[in-house]
Amino acid sequence: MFDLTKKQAGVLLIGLFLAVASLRVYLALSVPSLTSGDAYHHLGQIESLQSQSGSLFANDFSYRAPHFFLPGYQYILSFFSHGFSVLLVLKVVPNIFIASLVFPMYLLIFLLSRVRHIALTTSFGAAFVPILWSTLNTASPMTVTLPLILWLIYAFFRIKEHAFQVLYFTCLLLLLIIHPSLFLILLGFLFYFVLLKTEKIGIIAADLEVILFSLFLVVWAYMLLFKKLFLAHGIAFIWLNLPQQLISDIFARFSILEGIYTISLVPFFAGIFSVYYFIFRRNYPQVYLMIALSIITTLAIWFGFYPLQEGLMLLGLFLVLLASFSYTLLLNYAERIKYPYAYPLLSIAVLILIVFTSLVPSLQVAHANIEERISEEQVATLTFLREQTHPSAIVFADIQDGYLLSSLAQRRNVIEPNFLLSLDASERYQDMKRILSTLNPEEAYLLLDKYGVDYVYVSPSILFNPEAQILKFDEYPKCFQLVYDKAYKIYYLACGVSDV
Amino acid sequence: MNSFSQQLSKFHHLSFFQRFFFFSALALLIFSIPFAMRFFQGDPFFPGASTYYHMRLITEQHSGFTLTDTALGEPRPFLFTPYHLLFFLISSFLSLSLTFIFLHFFLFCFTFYFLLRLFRFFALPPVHQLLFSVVFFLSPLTLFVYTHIHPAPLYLFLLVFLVWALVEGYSSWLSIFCVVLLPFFGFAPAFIGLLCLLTLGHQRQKIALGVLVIMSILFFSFIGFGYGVPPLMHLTSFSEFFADLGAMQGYSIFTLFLALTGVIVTWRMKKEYRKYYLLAMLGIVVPFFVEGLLFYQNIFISLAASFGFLHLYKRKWSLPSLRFLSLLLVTCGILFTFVSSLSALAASQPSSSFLAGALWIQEKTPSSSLILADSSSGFLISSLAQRTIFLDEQDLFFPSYAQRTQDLAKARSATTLPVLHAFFQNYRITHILFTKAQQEELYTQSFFMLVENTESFKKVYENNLFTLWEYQGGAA
Repeated sequence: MFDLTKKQAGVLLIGLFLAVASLRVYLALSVPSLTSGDAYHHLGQIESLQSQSGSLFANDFSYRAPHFFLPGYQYILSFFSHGFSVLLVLKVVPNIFIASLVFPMYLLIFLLSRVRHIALTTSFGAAFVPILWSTLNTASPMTVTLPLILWLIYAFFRIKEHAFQVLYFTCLLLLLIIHPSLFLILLGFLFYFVLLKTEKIGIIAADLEVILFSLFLVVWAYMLLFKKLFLAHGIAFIWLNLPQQLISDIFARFSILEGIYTISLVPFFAGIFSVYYFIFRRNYPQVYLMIALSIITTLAIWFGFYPLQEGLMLLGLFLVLLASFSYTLLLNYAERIKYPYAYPLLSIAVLILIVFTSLVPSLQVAHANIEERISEEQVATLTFLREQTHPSAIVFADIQDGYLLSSLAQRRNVIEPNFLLSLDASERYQDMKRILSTLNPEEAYLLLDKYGVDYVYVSPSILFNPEAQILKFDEYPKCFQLVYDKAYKIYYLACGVSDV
Repeated sequence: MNSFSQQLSKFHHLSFFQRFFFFSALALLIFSIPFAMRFFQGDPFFPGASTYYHMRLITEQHSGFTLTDTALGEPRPFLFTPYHLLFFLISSFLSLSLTFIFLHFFLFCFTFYFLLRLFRFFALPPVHQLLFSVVFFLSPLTLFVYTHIHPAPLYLFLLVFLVWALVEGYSSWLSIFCVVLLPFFGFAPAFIGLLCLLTLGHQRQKIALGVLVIMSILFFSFIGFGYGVPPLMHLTSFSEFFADLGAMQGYSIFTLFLALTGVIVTWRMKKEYRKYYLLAMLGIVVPFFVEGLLFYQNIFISLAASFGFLHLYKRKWSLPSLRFLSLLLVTCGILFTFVSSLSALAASQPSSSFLAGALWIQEKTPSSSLILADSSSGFLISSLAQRTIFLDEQDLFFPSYAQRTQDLAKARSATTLPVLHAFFQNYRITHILFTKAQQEELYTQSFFMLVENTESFKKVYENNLFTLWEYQGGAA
């Protein structure tokens, strides 16, 4: 089989990394703001870390009691923030992290297929999984989690070598303090052993020992770190105490076709083919790990144990890995047929297919991510809230704006995407929906009064929400006084309950 | 690790009785810790609300034998068992706390003695016995059983004694003694007794089987016709299994993990010890479906966990450094769950503040008062303040319980005073008690607002744990 030399592959791989990193950084820096409230939440946390007096876990402007979370990502970004603006670091560093996933991806596929150009093509596919480009301007912790997971899997395959034991445990410890998806990966490893057992393939003792130890460590550490949350929510902690209605709303907005598109067509179908081929036609132990990880991730998304967006990112990468086996099978087939140019023609065809089904959608997703950034008008409105309202004021806005209120406006929110330690999560979410959807301004006022709200911020999330009835605020000027009227509006709640 | 092995090997040289006394002393030490903690905190001796239900049941017998509980204002039967009878008889000579210490310590010793006899029968190595004992003593379930006034220690003893008598082939009179008593503890212990007889019983145990069936039919018919049929089969909820998820009577997740490993590694023994293995598996599986058997399951889980631990210890590891770390993590996990349960137990109600409040209620409110409080405080108020309460956590054989719960839910969602007046007057409630935790939870609800801000309720007592409001009346 034709292949690249080690040097050629190395040069191309570094070139790929530099190209992807440069493109991502260039696009992220092309706009002055970040895209989501989550990103500003991270920004606030890192600024809090840098200031001597600030506490990473306390947020005076959140409606909830403060709780512990895994702070590794914030510490890493804070480390890079010395001498640079935090905003710049949030735009550059996460993009370099996620671009670096081409290295473990290449090594992993080369380890399994021993063909450099397949490893390189698949790494290209991995770099351009469209959903990964939704992290372009959001500084998501997944940007560092995904490469670490790939390094962890790579080190696992070579666990008998001392250097890779060190690499494995380094990745394990980093993931332990960065993102809880490590637990999902370990469950995937356990399921891998079950698959091996069902296929009557012997389990390597060292593999089992490493995973058992990792599982003990992770369970023990999380039990200690999140004890308060476990005791407060019991088993509901797995669902992050999210209201059932919110989970349903998230899934109602999601379509399977959209999911396939964001994972990319070729990896999705080629990955599914690999699952079929290696389960029913051929035994190949290493592939079972990818299959197990894909199945566990799919189930976790399905049952709402894992956030949809982040789950699709993981699933996308595992399917790319699985797709590489289909690609290898296809090229092996091309070698066997008699047509002399079949092999190079098929290689080029696959590359073109990946460009059209991955690169183009990735750029579309990146463009959409940039377009959804926090606009100058939004920043101006939130600045008004920060400068013109009393510091103890409570502001109502959509759930998506919760973090923006607490970080940019520095005012207490009524609801935010995090519901941990909230005693009335479902009630609060239902009330928020009711406040927005009711046509009756008096009902909305009474519900707002229930949470002691002083201001209502009509954000883009509310404006573009088809269920939101925002005209009611203008119909009741006696109690909803318009205090800011530019691109977005702010109303002051001027009545007492008895006046309504 | 080697020095640890050397220390363990010393354990081999202890005789059966030396081991028994060692374990008993260890258990006494462990089970004394929560009482010592409560003593230093200045809290009442007995921890846990459920204890106070059984305590009231026993103390009421001193003023004349009764099976009728009037804590809720309407009669309902006491859940009377042979344990309460035994406790009552001993407490006629000793104080309640001394009776508790005496009875529970001896029940533990007897149970453990027969467990050790069973282990000796199955030639379980002393180190394995030590491992079992450590896992068993550190289990939050064991801690609960032997630190609360609860019938479980007696029926556990009866079940262990029954298994020992059946395994060692003793006279069927011993089995009959156990099975006569088991139905009085409820359906679950009788059911397990039946399973023991079916799996381990020989031909001559037919009489015991017959006695158990007849006793059960007679007893449950009497209960059914007299008070109604309680739910027999009830799935144990998932979170009830994990002490780490806040259940006072649950397992450490690491114990369950070791138990799973234990079941996997002992799977090959199923043919060799067919009926014993069947009983062990039933002991592990049945409590998932029949509520109230976790204490019994705990023995099998601890045994399986000790097998699992020993397997991980003895197994030849490809990466030897991980062996020590893995076992250390598991041990720390079990230990931390135990410590967490211990501190939860020591911090459980009633605290000294609760006792002071309850005594205030007893002294300053009329004896005809009816207090509305969270059902979790019901047993404490009825026992310590000796006042009638609206609800507690004992819903068996009390048909009005569902109606009361429904009415309370309606009252809680009331937004106007007349609805609240109608509820209070209908049930003749004179006082309402809010704990601080409830106040934090209810502060946005109109129910709490109405109580706090209207003249129909007057705050009469407040301490750092609860506030008591007197109902002043009003037009419904």
